[in-house]
Amino acid sequence: MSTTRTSPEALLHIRDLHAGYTVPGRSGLGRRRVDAVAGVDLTVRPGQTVCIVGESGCGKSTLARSVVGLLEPFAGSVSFAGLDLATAGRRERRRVAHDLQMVFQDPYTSLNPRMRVAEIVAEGWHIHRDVVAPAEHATEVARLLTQVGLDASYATRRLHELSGGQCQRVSIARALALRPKLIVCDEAVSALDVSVRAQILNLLADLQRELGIAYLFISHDLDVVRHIADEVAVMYLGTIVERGTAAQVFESPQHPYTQALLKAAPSVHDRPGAAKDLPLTGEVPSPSSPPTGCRFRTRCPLATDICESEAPELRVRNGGDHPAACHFAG
Amino acid sequence: MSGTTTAAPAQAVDSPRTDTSRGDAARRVPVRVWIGAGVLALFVLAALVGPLLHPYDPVATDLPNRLLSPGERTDGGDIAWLGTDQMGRDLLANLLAGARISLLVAAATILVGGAVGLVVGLVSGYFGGWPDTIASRIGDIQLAFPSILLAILLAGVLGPSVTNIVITLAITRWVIFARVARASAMATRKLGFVDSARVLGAGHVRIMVRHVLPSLWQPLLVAATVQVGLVMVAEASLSFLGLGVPVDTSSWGATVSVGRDYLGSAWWISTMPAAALALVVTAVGVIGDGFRDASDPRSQI
Amino acid sequence: MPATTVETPAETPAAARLRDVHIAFGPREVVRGVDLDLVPGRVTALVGESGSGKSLTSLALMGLLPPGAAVSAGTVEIDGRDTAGFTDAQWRELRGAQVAMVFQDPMAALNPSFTIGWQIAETLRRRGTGRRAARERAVELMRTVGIPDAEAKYGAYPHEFSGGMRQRAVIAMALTLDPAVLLADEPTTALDVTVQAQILRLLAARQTDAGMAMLLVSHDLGVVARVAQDVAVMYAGRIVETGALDDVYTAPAHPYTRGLLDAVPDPARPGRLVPIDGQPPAPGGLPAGCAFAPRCPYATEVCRTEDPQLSAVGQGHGAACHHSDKVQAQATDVEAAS
Repeated sequence: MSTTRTSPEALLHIRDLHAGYTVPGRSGLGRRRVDAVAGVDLTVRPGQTVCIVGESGCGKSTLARSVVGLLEPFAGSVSFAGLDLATAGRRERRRVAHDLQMVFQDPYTSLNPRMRVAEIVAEGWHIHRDVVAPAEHATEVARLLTQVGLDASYATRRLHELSGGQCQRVSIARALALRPKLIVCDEAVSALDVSVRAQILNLLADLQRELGIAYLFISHDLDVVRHIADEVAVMYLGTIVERGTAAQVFESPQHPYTQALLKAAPSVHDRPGAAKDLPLTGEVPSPSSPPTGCRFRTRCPLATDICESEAPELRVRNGGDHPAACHFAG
Repeated sequence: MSGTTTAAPAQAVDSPRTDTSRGDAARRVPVRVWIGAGVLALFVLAALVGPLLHPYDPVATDLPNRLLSPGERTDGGDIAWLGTDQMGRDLLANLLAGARISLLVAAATILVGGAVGLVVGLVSGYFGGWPDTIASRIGDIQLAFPSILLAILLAGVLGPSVTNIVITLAITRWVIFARVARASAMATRKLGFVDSARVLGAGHVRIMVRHVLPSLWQPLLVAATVQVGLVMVAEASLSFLGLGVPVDTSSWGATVSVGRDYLGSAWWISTMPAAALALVVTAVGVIGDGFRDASDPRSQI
Repeated sequence: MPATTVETPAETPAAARLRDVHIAFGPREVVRGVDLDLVPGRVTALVGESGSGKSLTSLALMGLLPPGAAVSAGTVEIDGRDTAGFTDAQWRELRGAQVAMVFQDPMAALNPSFTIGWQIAETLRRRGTGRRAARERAVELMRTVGIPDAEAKYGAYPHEFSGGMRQRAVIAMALTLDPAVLLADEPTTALDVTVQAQILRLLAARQTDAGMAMLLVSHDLGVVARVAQDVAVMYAGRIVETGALDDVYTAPAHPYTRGLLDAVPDPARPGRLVPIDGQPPAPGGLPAGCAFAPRCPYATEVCRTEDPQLSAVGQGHGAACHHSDKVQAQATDVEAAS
């Protein structure tokens, strides 16, 4: 399976990334680092959909923000198309912005309500002037709106006249405007109703097929992840605990956390009474004081002494077909 | 895919609050705001055209007609509607000329102080960190010092002139605007669309001008309407103390000050400009309340 | 308009009953004739997307409609009493004791300035329980909803609790006075999957133990499947399908229900998802005939002129569709094929 070495065809390559926020130090002096992402390796290849799944506090949004440059990592590297973003100059990083775009969870807050749809979609062209000539802005906006399934007449509307799903289509058009190679989707369909969610997921799949875009898709929704993922990385408290193809992770989960997550997720095929056993109790510990050894051990039904003293590596064990970070995997 | 032109509703959470009608009712301007605006417009008009129709000569003396009470006739046969002062000058003409200075000083002070405060507040609120710390501490220190004392000090150093009084008052006022701008800029900086612009590769200047600045206008406008009144009072206070406009220039504050010596015999000299001042300050305050209500969703329920 | 009532499998009298309830914001009708029976010992789910009117329907049962909204027609009956014309005092008497509610956001339901334990005990003390007894009962309630170390947590403030623990505290508050009806409006939407599972299990266990009637309002068909026995599907302010959960999920008779179920990604059906075309009508801008017709693949001429009434399609199973037989036939085909 994938190793941490840069494969030549990698589009996005994350190595041993540490990122998060700082809090006032315990002594009241200085500031202390809280690693919401604590050592993550991940690779996304062109045209591929890699999903990161996990619960709140697992660091998946911090990871997404580090990738697009909204957050300065503490350590480790994020490289895009061979360019290390930490050491790249401002001009190079701005050029990367062409290729690396993001769609946020809530289209109502991530788009400026004072702007019209056309201005929202075209904003990137005022920053990167070589993408589309000013004379062609209007026709290009119309083409993009059509591409994301909106009528070209929406160009003159304002956001409050649009539904949530329509706003999310505008977000996607805005990201597409710079012709990116990778779009980071941070819970991009989580705020949408079921029927609209299906429309947007279909749209994302169509765009991938037509334009060869890769997605780094962050979600807590297992149904959605299973549907769209080529590869899945399961995160818990800042680290990836299991990684593999969608089929591997969903059909033969190796890590006890993945197993618990799959059992806990409600499905339309559940029936009351047919209660699934719930090995997980309690909630995710704070990333400011993670448990020693394995980060999952405080909630793990399998935990023993070794889990307390030794953090398990993410690797293939016992003839398994994909890596998991558990001493007892396989 | 491009065939599908429709998408469906908003958030997965169906909150009944989104069902309530909004917009038209909130946008309706209450009658009192219209009255306030009317009063203010009247004063502005009077300041603009009044002195042309009814000129005021600050150095004239007309001793036979001194200290006429309101409504009395001068020997010339004219009615002195608001009376005359100790030099026999018509008080109405004095007030009209004074309105020019008082309103001009107020407007100029708000513009200058507001512009400085806007820039400082926008930058410190958007960037945070040390620029914010420095700007905020300077503001704290200045606010700890009573603004009228500061104004007296500055006016005393700069000497009396209309320009100097605007500078003096702007220096005492910029902190208020900076605070308002900073608070809004800090709140806006955290909003999703600022992140979204950064992901597009937008620089700080573009984000500040295109995305943060537009959300500062409304709170600044509200602050400005409150400050207009205070500035007019401050200008009057300085002129009253003799630190305001030069002696040959008429201003409401200066007239109140002069009338002080005649309060026993000719109450109207101080009262008329004071009443005009109170009226304008109240009108602007009412307009400011209207702005605030329109921008504060909580007050609409 | 008198909707045909589908017989609920109820031998016990309903603890709360809605009959032809209409809720309007001024001239705009948002809920357009809802019939619902909440039966002791059963969990009924009210399913729908944003704007369907499901939350308003549940708020009407608490007398907590937002400002501007009112029940414009029909009856809301709780414990056999018609609540029409109830005063605030009468509603307060009812709330907590007869009907209690668990909201989506536990932080909104808790006062940040008071300790969790005090807030639970306060409900009891307002009803005349002594200080010590109220405290003991509060600790006991905190224990029943799975708050570990309840005695020590009595003095904790809401911000010291995690999201899941807060929701447990809110459930404890709701259960304080042993209500006959528990309303849960998206109770787990703000929670993580593993915590959501814990809370759903807790709600189901408390409901069964106390023999309460429970109304679960949710947009999540998976959550509903885990807890509810009966389902009512709302669309554009009206219940379009109702019945036992198994019947509705396996043989949906309304095309909207079918659409919702099909829109959920299913590992057994990879490839393109099947969304429902278009978007729901705005309240006040309803099409003539069936409100779902413009989005419906089965719609014919009759759907555009005649509004279908809820009518029986099976034992205790009703749907408001002119073509429910076709919908069901096709659903069975798909089941058989897969």
